[in-house]
Amino acid sequence: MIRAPISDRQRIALGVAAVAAILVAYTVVAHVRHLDNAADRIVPTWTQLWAGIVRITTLDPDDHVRYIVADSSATGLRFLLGFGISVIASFVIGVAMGCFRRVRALLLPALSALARIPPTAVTAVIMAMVGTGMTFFQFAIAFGVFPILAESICLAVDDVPDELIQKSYTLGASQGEVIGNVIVPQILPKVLDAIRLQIGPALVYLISAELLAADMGFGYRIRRFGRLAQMDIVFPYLAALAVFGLVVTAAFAWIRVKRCPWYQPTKEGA
Amino acid sequence: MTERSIMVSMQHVHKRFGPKHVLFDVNLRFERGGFVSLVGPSGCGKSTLLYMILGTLKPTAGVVLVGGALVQGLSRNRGIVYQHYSLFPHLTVLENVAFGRMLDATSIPFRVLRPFAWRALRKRHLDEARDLLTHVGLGDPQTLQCYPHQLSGGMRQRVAIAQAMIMKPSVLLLDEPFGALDQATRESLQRMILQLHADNERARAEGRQDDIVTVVLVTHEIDEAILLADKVVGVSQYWNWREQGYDRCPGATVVYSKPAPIFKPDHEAQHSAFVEQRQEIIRAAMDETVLQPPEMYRTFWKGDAPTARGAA
Ligand SMILES: Nc1ncnc2c1ncn2[C@@H]1O[C@H](COP(=O)(O)OP(=O)(O)OP(=O)(O)O)[C@@H](O)[C@H]1O
Ligand SMILES: [Mg+2]
Repeated sequence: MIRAPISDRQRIALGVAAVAAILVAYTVVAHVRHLDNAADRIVPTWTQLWAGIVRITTLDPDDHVRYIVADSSATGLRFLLGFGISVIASFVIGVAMGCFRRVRALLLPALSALARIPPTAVTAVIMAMVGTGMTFFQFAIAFGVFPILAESICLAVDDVPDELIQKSYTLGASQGEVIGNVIVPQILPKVLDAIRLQIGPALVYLISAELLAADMGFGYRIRRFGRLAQMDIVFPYLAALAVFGLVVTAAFAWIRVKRCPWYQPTKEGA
Repeated sequence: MTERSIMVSMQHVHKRFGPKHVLFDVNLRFERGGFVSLVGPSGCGKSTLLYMILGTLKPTAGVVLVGGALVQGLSRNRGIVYQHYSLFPHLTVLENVAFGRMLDATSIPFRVLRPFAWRALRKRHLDEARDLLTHVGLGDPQTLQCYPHQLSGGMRQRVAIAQAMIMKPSVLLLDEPFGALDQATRESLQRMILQLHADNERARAEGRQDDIVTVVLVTHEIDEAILLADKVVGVSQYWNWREQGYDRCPGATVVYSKPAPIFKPDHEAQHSAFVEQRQEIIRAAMDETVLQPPEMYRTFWKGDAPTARGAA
């Protein structure tokens, strides 16, 4: 029956079963391919993957770096700066658009239009304009994240009932207090959710920018070893990306629960 | 009665939304410390009238005075309790009630730059809020820490009234505050409103002029209107506008304005005492087949009668 509840045990067992099935299928495919060609690295065996992991975590004799360390810090810094700046900018602009009709009339149409352009298609344009330094990666992330995030923060402000804003004024609030003590705390859970949902896309924009122009970082490394068909290196990188995405996403979900215990995603208003 | 004792006054107030005529030549005077209930058919403009006193709507023509001053926007002297969205969802019960004290008495720079002074003041505000909540029957420490979504509808409205009352407003406006509640809850909240009468009386006796509140309550329950108020005002579009020379209704106007008996809290209300007044209000305001001159049931204030017609 649709939406009929299942037990926790059943739920967990089904999730584990899917992961196990993928791992078994992978093992079988890798084994079959290696019957033909023992040196195959497109579907590496578990032993080859382990060797790959060892290789990226030990000091490389030619490049004099540990690949995973150097790439993580390069990509991590770009992500932190690019995503952080995008979030701060879209928060300020989004709240301003939600609160002031003039700001909204000025910016919202332009942002909506920008949001329709596929960000990865613009990467080449950004590269031509700002070169391939840190600015390039920041713009690549911001171009994709900022318009969408600013728009959803603006919509979150719209969801604050007029009644509560009017009531704040009857309680003696100044304009700054209406924003700082009434609107911002009430949109916070929705903002955290919106940020969380943009982490995935932000990684897409950053990695595709790195594929295009970088001499360090996840995108660069994946391209370099992908060209050599060395999936024993590429797969651990993909796994690291997945873990990073999951951890950051879970962290934002956790912050929302901790910071906004009052928030009821299904029940609107009070 | 001297002019000084008038708290709210509306003079030749008209209200239109675009081509839609909602209110026509409303003239009202509410006494300081009085309890007025506004009744009328659904959609006649009761909320519109209330929001012009609150300051979120402007009259198309005419003036609205509160405390002798023209209403211009919202003010910390006029509190409001809505039917929905009555509380801030991100604050606990206690914080919701203390919120007004915080906003009114401090500013963001003060709270940021003088954290110690703010903390001492905050404690005082929370104590005040706790006292007031105890007064409205919500002193239980566990309830104080609840968020609005954890409360029943009746508790929420109690908190909302305390939230408005902590400001010691000169006018308290209530827009169908009990509209969504079941009968038993409604009655317990009515007793709480009657308690405000007693509070007013005590404030008057002790000479605390600033603590006297004038209450305007919008309701669609006629019994509730009679029970809670010392003056019932009926607003309705059912009046003899055709005989006065209009070919379409120029809007609702005041068709009823009479004192109502005051009941003390815990005094068992006698339903039969209402019946006569109830019938009269229904005839004056609710019955669309009875179209009479609007002044017919207006006896409370001579000044309520319009002196010039069609001013807009
Ligand atoms: N902002 C607005 N714009 C246009 N029309 C409005 C607006 N606000 C109210 N109206 C109209 O004015 C009329 C009176 O509305 P109002 O809400 O004051 O009635 P009410 O007596 O409070 O009704 P209810 O009993 O349903 O609460 C209604 O017909 C409504 O459609
Ligand atoms: Mg209404």
